[in-house]
Amino acid sequence: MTHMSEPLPAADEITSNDDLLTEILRRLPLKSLLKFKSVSKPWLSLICNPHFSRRRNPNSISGLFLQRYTPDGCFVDPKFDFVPLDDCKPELAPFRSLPFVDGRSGIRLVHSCNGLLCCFTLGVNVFDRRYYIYNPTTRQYTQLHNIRNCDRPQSAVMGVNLAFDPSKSPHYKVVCVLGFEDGGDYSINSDCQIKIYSSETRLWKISGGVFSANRNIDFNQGVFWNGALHWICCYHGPSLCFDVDQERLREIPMPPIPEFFQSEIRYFGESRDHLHIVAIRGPRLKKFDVYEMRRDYSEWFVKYHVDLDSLTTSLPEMVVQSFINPPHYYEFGILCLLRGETDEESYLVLHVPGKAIRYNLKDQSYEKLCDVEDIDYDDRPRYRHSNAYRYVECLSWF
Amino acid sequence: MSLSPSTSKMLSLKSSDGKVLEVEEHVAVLCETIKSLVEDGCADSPIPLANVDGATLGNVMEWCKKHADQKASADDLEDWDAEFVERDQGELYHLIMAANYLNIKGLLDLICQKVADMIKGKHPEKIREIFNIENDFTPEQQEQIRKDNSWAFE
Repeated sequence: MTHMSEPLPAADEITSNDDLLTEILRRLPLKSLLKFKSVSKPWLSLICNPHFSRRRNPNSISGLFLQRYTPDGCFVDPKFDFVPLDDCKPELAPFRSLPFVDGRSGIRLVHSCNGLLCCFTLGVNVFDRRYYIYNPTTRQYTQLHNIRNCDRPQSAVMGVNLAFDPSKSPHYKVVCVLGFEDGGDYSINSDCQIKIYSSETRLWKISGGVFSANRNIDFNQGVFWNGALHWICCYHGPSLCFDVDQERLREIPMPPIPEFFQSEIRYFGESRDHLHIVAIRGPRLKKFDVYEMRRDYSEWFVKYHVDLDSLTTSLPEMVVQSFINPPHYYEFGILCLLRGETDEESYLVLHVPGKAIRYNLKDQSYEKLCDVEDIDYDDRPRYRHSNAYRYVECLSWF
Repeated sequence: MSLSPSTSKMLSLKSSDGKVLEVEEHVAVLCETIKSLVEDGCADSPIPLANVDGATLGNVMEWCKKHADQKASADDLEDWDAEFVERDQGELYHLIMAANYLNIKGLLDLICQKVADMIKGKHPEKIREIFNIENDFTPEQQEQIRKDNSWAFE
């Protein structure tokens, strides 16, 4: 190109027009974009702006990292599977292992939120665990120190959750739930307290007093929605919601599922600013409802009736014969529910024997996303929403 | 209103440098801006296009003519587009501005992709040169960004 080194007046007009510059830059590969952050301050601010990321990835979630377990279910494999959700190939996974830590004794991902991941290394005992926040897009990471420090001794980390919404603030918070064991107490509740880390101040602080929480709540499975983290309790106790900015903890209702204690939470997650839950009662059935929470927390309502009949017909490997009633049950794990701009574009990501598929909630069509071989000791698909972590491209830096 | 080729009505378009181009209506309406003028009955002749020079307008209409051709297959258009974007940077920038002003999504996508392909993988210094951008970072800030995104510079 002969004119390459001669700047032209029209070039100024394009680079000073954010819409046009976005149109060009959004088509670039990730690596070029990270490099071009150092072109100038206006380019840096345009590339790091969440509006730019949304323009670049309108569907926002590019893939899912799957946490593998070794067959004995104890050791956590430092390698991850990746399910691509946009057009990228599985071999283009942003990472398969975490290069910045010594993963020989195992690494566990614990939470993902709008582009950031939280993970810890497994040590000889729980006190050796080291916690990290990782941005797989920029490959930046930071270690969280002093996570266990607290006024009361014998604290255990019950859960670590990220609260990050780049469209609201460039800073993230980490919400850690500490539990206190009072020796010999086998009550259904345990004493807990919340600590918050802010990436802005780089400090931890204790939030609120000690509260009593049902032991059935898995505090690592928090879902960030509506500025708050939500933790579900599946048996005999209230589910909780913690507003991260106002630091307010309160109870939230559960879906109106009869005999809820017999149900299994098969999915709990957020998509396009909607909170969804799937609880399936009894054996693994192919008909179930997806509930959505109203924004004012007044109730859960049925958003989708799902019937996987057409899927189990074309994928007979999903059907398992049973000697008890009912005579069949169905093997699948719900990894993710993703809403589209319209209901026609909303789908479930399922792990069925041998592969991950995308199942359209409206027209019930499906397409294979990639092979996923991992199975548990009963030859069942192993992955669930609870070990699928979202990959969202996040070009911001901290 | 029918915009099919059979009506074959002509529109006059006047460029910023005063050149007048006679274009078939079904070709010109690929520009959303012109289409709304026609639909609103405001397409007085000639239509003044204050932001597009004559040479660029000629190029834009050449693209529209090809893409309005019902007989052209998708493969055909792809090959033709690949040849169409083989031009110097100045012309590409003018085409981007014109496609934006005339609101022709297909052409804007095509040229932006071409420019992205041209600049990808280049060193930031080269990008500043191409787009005539001043480096407003201090050397320390520059180094910090480089460090934070080190894998991209490998």
